[in-house]
Amino acid sequence: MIELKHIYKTYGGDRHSLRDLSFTIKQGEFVFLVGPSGAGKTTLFKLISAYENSSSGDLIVSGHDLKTLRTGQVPFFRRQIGFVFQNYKLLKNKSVYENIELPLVIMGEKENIRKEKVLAIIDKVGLQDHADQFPDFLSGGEQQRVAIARALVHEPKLIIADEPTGNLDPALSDSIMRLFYEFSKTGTTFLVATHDHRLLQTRKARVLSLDKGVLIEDRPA
Amino acid sequence: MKWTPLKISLLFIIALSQLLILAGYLSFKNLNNVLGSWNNSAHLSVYLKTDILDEERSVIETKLKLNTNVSEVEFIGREKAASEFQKSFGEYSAGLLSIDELIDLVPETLVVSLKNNLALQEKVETFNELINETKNLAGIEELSYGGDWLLKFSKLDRTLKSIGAFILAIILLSVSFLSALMVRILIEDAKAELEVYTLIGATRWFVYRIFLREMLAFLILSLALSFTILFSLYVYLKEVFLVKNMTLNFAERLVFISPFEIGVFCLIVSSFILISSFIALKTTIKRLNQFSYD
Repeated sequence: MIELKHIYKTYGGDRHSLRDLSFTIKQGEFVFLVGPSGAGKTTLFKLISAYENSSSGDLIVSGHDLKTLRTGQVPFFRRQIGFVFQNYKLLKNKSVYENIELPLVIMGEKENIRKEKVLAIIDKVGLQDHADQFPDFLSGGEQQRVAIARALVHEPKLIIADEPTGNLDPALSDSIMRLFYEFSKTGTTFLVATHDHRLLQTRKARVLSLDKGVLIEDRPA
Repeated sequence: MKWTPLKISLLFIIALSQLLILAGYLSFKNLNNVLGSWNNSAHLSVYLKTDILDEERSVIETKLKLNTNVSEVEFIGREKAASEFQKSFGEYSAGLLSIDELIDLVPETLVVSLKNNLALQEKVETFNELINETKNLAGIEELSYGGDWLLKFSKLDRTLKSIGAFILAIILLSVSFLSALMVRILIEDAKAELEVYTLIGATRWFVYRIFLREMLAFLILSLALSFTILFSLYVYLKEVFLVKNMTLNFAERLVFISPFEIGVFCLIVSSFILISSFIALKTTIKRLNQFSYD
């Protein structure tokens, strides 16, 4: 699913954000990415989602060699990834239903199919009573559920979650993680960055530890 | 499109900007119109001798009509000239001579009108040309076109038109800048939305389509608003001028922007706003591609 070989990322001069990173993540794996601030977690995500190019090395995601990916192909590539962020990144002028529907609209799905898929995922994340509400009227946990539903509605092969529980209390964090585990059973690959070591105890999962851009530990599940 | 307070205020600012351009253009057009109508009242009067022969009059008329700038040469016989002379004095005419008595005193006249599309300066030059060509012909008593007045008016006309054009150009430039700025603010306001679209794999054209459609709705509303305000102002001012009975038929001469001009204006404004939006969107999306997900 994701294959990194000797990846380096340098921002001007000698400042290495990632150094000689090599690992492979298989389809359906659930992987935690841990490390302190500045360890390179976000940089790694940017490379995997084709927001930035690596300075050197090979990076293959879902069969795409990102070095050869043309600008026009990037949006189509990103449709194979679902993103979940700490600050949710929802559209405030759209309802819960419309927010979740967005990836399907972009992919040009027919309305009846969109409706079917959106209602199914709303049901799974437990937002049946909030479909017509706007994000500002939801709690943090509910907003994160909307973001998760949006990330999953088009059935991507990979979910990238950057500190998805960063703004949530422990109980809500656990419920979000339970949702992730539930969806990972369908074969979706999850790459979850977190500071919260408590989350690592909630499930047996592979843990990649980064520090100063270097992979210091690859602990199997 | 969801109407936020920012969008509503920007809609009004863009509509008022368009209104400023339209009002500037309408004022300029009417200024030209009024000046042009005064300008068109300039005629060359060829006063004929009392003993002129028909052949001599015919030669003069033919000579005048040879000039390509001449649109009409009207012969005014004594009777008509006397009656017009009396009419022009209105209520005071009772104390004047009768038409029969005036006929012997008022000369026959050829009134030369020039084409309306000529500038005032060209009219002055044509009148002088005509005077030089005909002054020595038999049967002419005097030629006159009020040269001094016309020259002064010509200077005033040129000054007013230049000032008008200059002010219009300034309005156009500043308002274009303001509109472009408003578009930029609107796009910046939608940055979070753009970020989400890029994130979930929307192509550039998908994003352009959404935002340009929104801008088009914005544009139509702002144009409708500015034209409605302008037309209401025009009707109101015309009414005020009519009631005040302004001199030289000022109110009657006022005209609104023609459908063709409205079409051209809408086309130019739409192109300008849509191109500005497109450029703003393009640069914003480009910046978002180097975004920080933090």
